[in-house]
Amino acid sequence: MTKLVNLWIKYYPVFLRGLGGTLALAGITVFFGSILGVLIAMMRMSKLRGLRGIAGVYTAVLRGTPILLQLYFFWLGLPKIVPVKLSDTTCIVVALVVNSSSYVSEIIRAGIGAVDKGQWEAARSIGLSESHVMRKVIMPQAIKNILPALGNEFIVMVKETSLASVFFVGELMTAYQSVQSTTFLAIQSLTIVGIIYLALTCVLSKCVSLFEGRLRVSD
Amino acid sequence: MKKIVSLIIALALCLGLCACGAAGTTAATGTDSASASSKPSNRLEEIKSRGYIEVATEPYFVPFEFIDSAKTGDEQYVGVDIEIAKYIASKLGVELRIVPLEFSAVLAGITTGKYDLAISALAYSPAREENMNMSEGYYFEEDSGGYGFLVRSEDKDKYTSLDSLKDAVVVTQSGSVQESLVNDQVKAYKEFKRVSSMTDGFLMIGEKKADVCVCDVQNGQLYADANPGYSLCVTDFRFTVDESMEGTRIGIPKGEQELTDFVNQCVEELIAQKKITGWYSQYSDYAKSLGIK
Repeated sequence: MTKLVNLWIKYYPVFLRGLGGTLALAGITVFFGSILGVLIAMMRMSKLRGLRGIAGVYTAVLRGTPILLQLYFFWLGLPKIVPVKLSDTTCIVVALVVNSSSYVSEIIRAGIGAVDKGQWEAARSIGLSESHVMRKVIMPQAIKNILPALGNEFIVMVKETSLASVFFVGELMTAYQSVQSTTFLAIQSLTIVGIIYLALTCVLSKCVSLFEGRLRVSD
Repeated sequence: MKKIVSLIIALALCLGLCACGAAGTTAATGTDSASASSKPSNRLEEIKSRGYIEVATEPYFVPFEFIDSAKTGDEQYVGVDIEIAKYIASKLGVELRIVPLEFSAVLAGITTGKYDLAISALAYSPAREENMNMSEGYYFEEDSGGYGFLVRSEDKDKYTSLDSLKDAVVVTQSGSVQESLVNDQVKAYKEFKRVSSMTDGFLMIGEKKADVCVCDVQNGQLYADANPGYSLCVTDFRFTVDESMEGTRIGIPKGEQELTDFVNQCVEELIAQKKITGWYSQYSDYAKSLGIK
């Protein structure tokens, strides 16, 4: 226990930097993943069968393979395909964004699908155009389903980014690795990192549920 | 019917994607070798013309490479191997860029030619030699004490030979030379576990998840000293290592003979100047100062 405290006193900047890295990585991933995810979701719901097929395969591949495999794949493969020189961090961020986009697209699709079909029929029957129905009737209701789920995706990402430590992208697990390898105190640094993760996800899920409550006010 | 059609389309797309991917990679490697032949003729020339060298390492291995968290950027990476990397870079007259990665990624990064050198206390193994060029040895086990067993103190007299391992759960780092030692020399064990980092192996001994960790004895001793609560110790047993396999080496992408020759020349100079053993003791003390009381 005293070792744990001493370790924290000596190395807290490293852990805090790691915390910053984790938050930044998860934030960037979910932000760009959402943008890409909206596109994929639109493709999946499109009338063109080809687009639907591409999006279907995209989500099937990304949700059907482990994220660590995807990280390795992008780390080795991406620099070969892209002509400009990419840093390792860029490759990993791209991999995380692509992975996240597949989950976000499903969240969006489910969110829209959850709006009662009668809403669409009613709106159409009073003469609104298709795009009008989508923008003014369906989306405002779907958003209420989508936003809390996106918040949860962020929490999931906070934990998933720990896998990026294999490639030394500065985040919390990397901080753990660096500290334990020089001090040889694995249990203590693991405990510190665990407490930070737990505190972080507790605060975040509390935020999400508060936010969810606000969205439910109009129900 | 619709379902079947969409299934076929999905399959076709899949194949199409695979084909694109494959075409993309071959095209890329094609241009790579084309540009390599038109401008710099080999990797050594390429490094000189681009002005920096990228060295992959797993900075979790005291005293070869580790992190001084008080520093930032490339300065935070310190240790014997980093000094060697600096020496090579300065002889080439190029900037040194350290690429920190996990050990398996270091190996993948050099066998695929993603990075110029792997200086990460790599030990020689025939399988490794098949996939990358390896330099001459720069650090020899007689300087350190060799490979042995880290065990809990109460087992000190129990595990003193290779035969004694038959009732033991053995652990070591995956992809390391210690792993091939176990595979080649240990005939019987209760269970053989592999972990991604040697410190995880040490931890497993302390937590009674395994009985014997096959490790570099100095590295093991450092861990035992830092964790008196576990009461660990290194037994007297030492592995006999084939002379041709001895020595810690530098990994170079396969077929880069000019770069290999250059690295060998650097290694020879450093050994002649007795630099490496000096750095070894210097960085062992350095690492101790980073621990907590």
